[in-house]
Amino acid sequence: MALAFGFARPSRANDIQSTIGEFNGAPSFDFNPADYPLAPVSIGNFSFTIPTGLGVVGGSISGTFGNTDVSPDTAASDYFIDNGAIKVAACDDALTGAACDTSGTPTAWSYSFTSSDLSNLATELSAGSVDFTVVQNFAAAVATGTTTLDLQLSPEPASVLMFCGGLAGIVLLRRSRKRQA
Amino acid sequence: MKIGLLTLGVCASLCLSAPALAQVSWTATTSPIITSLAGGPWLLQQGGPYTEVSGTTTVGGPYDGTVPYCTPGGASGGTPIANTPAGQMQPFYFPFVTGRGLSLQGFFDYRPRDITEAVVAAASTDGGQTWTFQQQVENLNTVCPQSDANGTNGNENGEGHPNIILYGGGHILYLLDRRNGHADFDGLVMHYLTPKVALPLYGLSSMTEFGPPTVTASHSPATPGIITQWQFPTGVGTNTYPLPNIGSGTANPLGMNNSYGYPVGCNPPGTSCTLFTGSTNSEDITSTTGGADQSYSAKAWRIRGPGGNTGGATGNGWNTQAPQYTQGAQFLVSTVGYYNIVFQYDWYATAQGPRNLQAQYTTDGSTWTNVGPLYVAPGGDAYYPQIVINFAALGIHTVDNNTHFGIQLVSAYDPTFVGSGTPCPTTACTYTAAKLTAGAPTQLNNTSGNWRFDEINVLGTPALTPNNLTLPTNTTGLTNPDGILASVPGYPFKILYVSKTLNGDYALPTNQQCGASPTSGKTNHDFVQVRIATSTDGIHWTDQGAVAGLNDPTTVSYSGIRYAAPNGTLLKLSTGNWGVFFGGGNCLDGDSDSFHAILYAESSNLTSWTVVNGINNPIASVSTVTATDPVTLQSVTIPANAPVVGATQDWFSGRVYGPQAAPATTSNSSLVNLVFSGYNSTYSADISDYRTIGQVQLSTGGGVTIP
Repeated sequence: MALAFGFARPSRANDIQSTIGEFNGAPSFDFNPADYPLAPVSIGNFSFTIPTGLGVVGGSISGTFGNTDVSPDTAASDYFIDNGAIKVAACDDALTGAACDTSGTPTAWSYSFTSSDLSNLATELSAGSVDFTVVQNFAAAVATGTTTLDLQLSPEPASVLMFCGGLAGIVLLRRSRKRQA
Repeated sequence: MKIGLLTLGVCASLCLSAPALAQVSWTATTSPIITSLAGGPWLLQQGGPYTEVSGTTTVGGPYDGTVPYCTPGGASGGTPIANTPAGQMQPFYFPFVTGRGLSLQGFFDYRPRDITEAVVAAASTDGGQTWTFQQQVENLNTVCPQSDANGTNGNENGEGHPNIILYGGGHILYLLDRRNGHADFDGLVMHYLTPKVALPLYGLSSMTEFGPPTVTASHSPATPGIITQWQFPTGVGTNTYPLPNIGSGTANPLGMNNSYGYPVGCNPPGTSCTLFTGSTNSEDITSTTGGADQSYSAKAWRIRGPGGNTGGATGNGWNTQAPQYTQGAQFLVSTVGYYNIVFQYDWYATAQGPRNLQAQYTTDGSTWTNVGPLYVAPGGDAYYPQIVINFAALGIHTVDNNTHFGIQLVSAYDPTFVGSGTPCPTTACTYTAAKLTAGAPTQLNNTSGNWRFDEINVLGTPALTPNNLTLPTNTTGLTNPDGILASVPGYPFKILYVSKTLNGDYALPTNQQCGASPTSGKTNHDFVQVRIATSTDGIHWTDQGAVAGLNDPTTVSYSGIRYAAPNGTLLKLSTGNWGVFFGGGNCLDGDSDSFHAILYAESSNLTSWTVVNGINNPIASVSTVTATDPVTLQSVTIPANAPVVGATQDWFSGRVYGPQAAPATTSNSSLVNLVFSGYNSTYSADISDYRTIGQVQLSTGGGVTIP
């Protein structure tokens, strides 16, 4: 099983990104549907540092079913963050071959966080680490391409208050000086 | 009413004007090239001139050429020479290619003549024009030290025809078990793959799991498919009780030693006559042209009993007083180890030989049961060629795996006889002569005439003991699989596979069997079908029957497609149709390996196919052949039209097959990069230019794409 890890890099002014490299799970050539789903397997962790004073106001996660190095396809599978609480992708139609299993090339997917997701992820976001797991729902092997976590940042409310307070103070100070003059 | 008619008319006109789904009209956008391989095992060009002296004996080449296969080489052994830095991709064939765009993953059958066989993986970043070696696994031999014969190591018959089903991130590799007695009988050898980055064959062993090959495999019939055969190729004499030339069994005349009396010269009854008594068997081998063997030197087994007569006249053994089904020939052949039994033979009756023949079979050596129709001789002094009794088709399986199996071909009364003759107990019936008199049968004269038999074959499918492999394992449920032609994306697994029954066309009428190839002089009797099968685990398959339209295993026309090869490509087109590239061949080749041309066909349902690029307008073809077509008896030039890829090049003038079509872009591609294999036409004598991987790019013309 490939070892996956994440790293952060600067993005747009108020965004940060973290990626996990390609992942190739242990194959399971058990074709009995009753033996699935398998236990969750960690693909890796997104690691990042949110600059002081900034908060996460939105975000998304994106990747590919299949990859270019080992397999363009993946087993029927569901993908989660937040210890399995938030499903961000599903490739569950592989049993019929109707969805992400037949193209012969990696298939892109993406998921945008809701405000509820951000609320649930608050602890992980503040800790700078979000887990990424997969549950395999049928044979044969999970294969994913590079997965990217994209977080949109904005100054936190307290910072905004302090900033606004300071700004207001400057304005009041200037007006006071004008009256004295 | 008018509106209704108008609506109907509009609908009708729309229906009539609706275009049929356009078939792809392939054109070539490049000329075929020989691909190159960087790294990996020894390549042909690293050997010296390699010329076949006789059979498989060679001089030069990889073992003792100017640059030997092994260093220091010869009997001194050493280590295999590696390919460095890059060279023409030979000797590889049966490519299997996955991927789209410029980045392709290839799997190849590496098979240096008389040396070894292995599976090689290589990658390409330019659409298959150049390849970089990745892995070599499942080697048959350690190869060094090496010899040209290499018999003790099993020569080059290892695991071949690599084909992979890609499913859900898992890869399942299928290989043909090419060992003697296993090829085209056993299931395909199956490996689950656990690929790693740059190691697509990771987990497979360096050497084949079969262990050291043996010269004689445990399931090696003398000629696969033929249990016993009598062809009477040589010798003329009497009382031969001829031995078979293949297999074992006994051939006995029936009823020729007898004591029947018969009045000669008193027909019609009441006239004075002479009575003779008795006959002595005098069967022999005699020259008889015709039947399946058209040569003037052909011989047949003659049944008669002209000796031992008393009474002053001459009888010939065949007698109207003999009880029905007691005179003729008997063949006893054990079918132990075989099933699906077929018996076939040429029957010749002279003008005065008995006109009617009935076949009977036994499963206990003593009880005989009629099988098949009552046959009528064709007019006298003529063959009734290749009469076939297919027991499996008749639902008779008691003859399978049976020590006491036997066939009798015996004379029977003529049910059409209406003249005066020896009365039967209830009706006036008797034996009659093969030659009619004034259009009507006449009673057997008892003094002349005989039957002859030739090309007698007892065929069966060997009931082999499975390899009992754990991993890899053999597939089950595929009928004589030669390899996978193509797999259908999705689940459950569905494949088109090539089913090859060695010598199976002996069960067909003679006019559906190939004659000798006008180019090689060889004759092939294999029976090849493309069949569909499904599976839920890739091991246990359920055969769904033969597809229609890709090949016709009964055609002998030089323009027909009699054979199809594994390792083609299935494409889903923007029209909704399926397209398939495949290697095809026919009676021109004298071989069932389906290497005459690369062909293309389309289907809406995978079971019924329409050939778009056939033998006469192929994608690519071996060298042009001009010969007399066996069906039309006209001189034909094959192919009649120029191949799509242009003029045939030397390196695929002898064989061309294994087309692997990879869409040239990752989506909506109107181009495919076609990777295939070819042999120079001189390969049978000079094997310094064979098993070459080539590449060419084709275009659909833009109207149809591969989504």
